[in-house]
Amino acid sequence: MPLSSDLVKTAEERCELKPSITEADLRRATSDCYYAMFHAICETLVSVLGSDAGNDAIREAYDVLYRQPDHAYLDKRCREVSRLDFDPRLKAFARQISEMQNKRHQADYYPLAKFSRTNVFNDVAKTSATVRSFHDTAQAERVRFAFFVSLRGRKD
Amino acid sequence: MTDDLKRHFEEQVQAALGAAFVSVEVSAHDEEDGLPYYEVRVVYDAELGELSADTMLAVTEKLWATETQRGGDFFPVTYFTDVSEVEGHAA
Repeated sequence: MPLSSDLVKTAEERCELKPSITEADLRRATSDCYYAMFHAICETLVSVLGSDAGNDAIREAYDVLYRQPDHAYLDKRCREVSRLDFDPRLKAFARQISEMQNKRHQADYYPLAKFSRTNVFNDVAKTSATVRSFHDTAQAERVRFAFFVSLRGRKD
Repeated sequence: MTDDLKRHFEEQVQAALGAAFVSVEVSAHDEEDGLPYYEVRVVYDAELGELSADTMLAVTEKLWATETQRGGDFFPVTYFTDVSEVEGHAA
């Protein structure tokens, strides 16, 4: 199972855990949601390299390409996606990743931010649905999207 | 943001949630990197209707479409919270 799907599962499990769910569970689930989407993009970027992990040259390229996405640039580009010609499921994914990046900052850096159980449960449900739809899109379109939101052109 | 836009957002959220809608509050903010966003806090009553992921995602899509059509660049960050968890609202 790819890391992106594992992270969604982790977020779901944090929310299922127990009646006495803690604020730490809610904050970690929020962060898991964002990183599930972030890693889905990284995984898509390297998918063009194939799966020859034993090849040193491919392995080096894999590491470099996987680490290309930058959080701030990703947010900026994801906001632009709605105005462009992309599959509607990728547009929904782009909106959700911008939203979860904002909430991830609140979860990880703002100790006074309040997190309610239903709100985080709903975020996990939205993230799970958008990641599933993301994986259902045509691979070529998904790769085009991942490159658009991650890689800077000469003028950027 | 203008009162007209707030009212428009409220109408869109209410139409999407139907009977489960309780209230919505919208406020404008900037992220640390300067990108602007609206914090859209929706309160709903789960006893009158559970929200599906598709319904919630559609709300963000509609609000963002409204904002881009008017030439704005405030991204809507939506929070959907059940009324039972909101102080000051009767459950």
